[in-house]
Amino acid sequence: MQIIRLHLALACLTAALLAMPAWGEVYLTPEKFLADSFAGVAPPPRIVWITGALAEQAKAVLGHKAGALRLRYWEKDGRSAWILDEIGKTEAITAGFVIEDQKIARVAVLEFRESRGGEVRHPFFTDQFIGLSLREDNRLSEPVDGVSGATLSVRAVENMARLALVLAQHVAANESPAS
Amino acid sequence: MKAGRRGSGLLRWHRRIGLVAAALVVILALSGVALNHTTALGLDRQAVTAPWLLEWLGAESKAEMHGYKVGQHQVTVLEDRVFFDGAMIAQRLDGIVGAVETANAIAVAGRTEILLLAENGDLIERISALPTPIAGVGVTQDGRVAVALAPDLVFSADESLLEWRQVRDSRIDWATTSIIPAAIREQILQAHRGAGISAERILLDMHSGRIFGRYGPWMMDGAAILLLLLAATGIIGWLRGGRGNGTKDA
Repeated sequence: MQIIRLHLALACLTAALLAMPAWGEVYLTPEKFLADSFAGVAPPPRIVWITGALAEQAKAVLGHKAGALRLRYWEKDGRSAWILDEIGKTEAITAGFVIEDQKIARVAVLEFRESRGGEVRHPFFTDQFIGLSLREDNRLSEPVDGVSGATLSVRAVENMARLALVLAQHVAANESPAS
Repeated sequence: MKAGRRGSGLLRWHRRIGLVAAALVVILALSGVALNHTTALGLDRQAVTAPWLLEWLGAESKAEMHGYKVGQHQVTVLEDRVFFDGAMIAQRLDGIVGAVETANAIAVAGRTEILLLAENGDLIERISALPTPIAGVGVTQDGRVAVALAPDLVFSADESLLEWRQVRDSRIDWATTSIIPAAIREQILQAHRGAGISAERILLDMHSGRIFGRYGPWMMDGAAILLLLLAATGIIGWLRGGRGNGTKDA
């Protein structure tokens, strides 16, 4: 009888685990991220087309073609904000980046949908990016320490940081970006 | 004599339990052995694409397809998937309400977002900063996207879909469904099925009982319990000396 009870308990536990909803958590809304990044009031959005040489550069940074042909960004007084998506293992991670003087000024994970690796949202990880810039070979100016068990999520956030720097460089180099 | 009757009763139950458990234990054992050798047998590389099996496993969609003719192209929607001329677009979109051709792109609208596609089906942008919940999508006379939240609450976007303003324009061509060509319909069904389901997955579902539906795992749990009872009654019977036909006294 005890064995049956144990078996039933294990079956119930398995069923409960299977019934758990898919993981996915919003830590910060895009609106809040933008408001926080621009002293309470976000400037109107602009758009940058990821085509031609920029598309090639984005592909080199991400290791695959960029997900969309154009992207929104927000810019005011030489400070630009970018909200990007990148797949960690199977699901997209949404992160926001603020670039100032071609250096990262802020990183925040807005939404994390993977089942593992959510530690990348913590400041002990994201704060490592502050002050980093882009080298000529499209790598970050300083190495970033990984998080145990979150290799793919770390790589995704790193790639997004590099892409944000590439895009900020591109819009800065173009006197009249498409908007 | 009393012990003999007990032994006989035990053996009777041993046989009954064995009979009830037999079919499920066979499935459990065979699928278990096969799963132990999935790589050697190549079961993880073999795809099962039989429509009846995919339907049984819930991999075949029962949802209705909706088609929209946009210029020279066909946009089709199946559940939260968008197909451009039969090819699946990577992005999912919830609550799709329609698709229209604008002056320079194709807009597929969901309840809270719009997928803006290029003429070749590439994603231009996924737009979520817009008036919602969208009940209908259309195009204005000058080729701009318009969304209706209610019959008297319509907004139209600028060329880049960055800004939206309320309009009272009655000359909007609203998205309407169209007939989906048979070839595209078949292509979509094939794409939705994907590469099928691996034989390993099916064996795993057989082993866990999930292939038999919602209560399948409980059924397999029952088989496992019966197997334990079978072992227990067998051991007890053997210890009591009820070997052979069970009529011999202990």
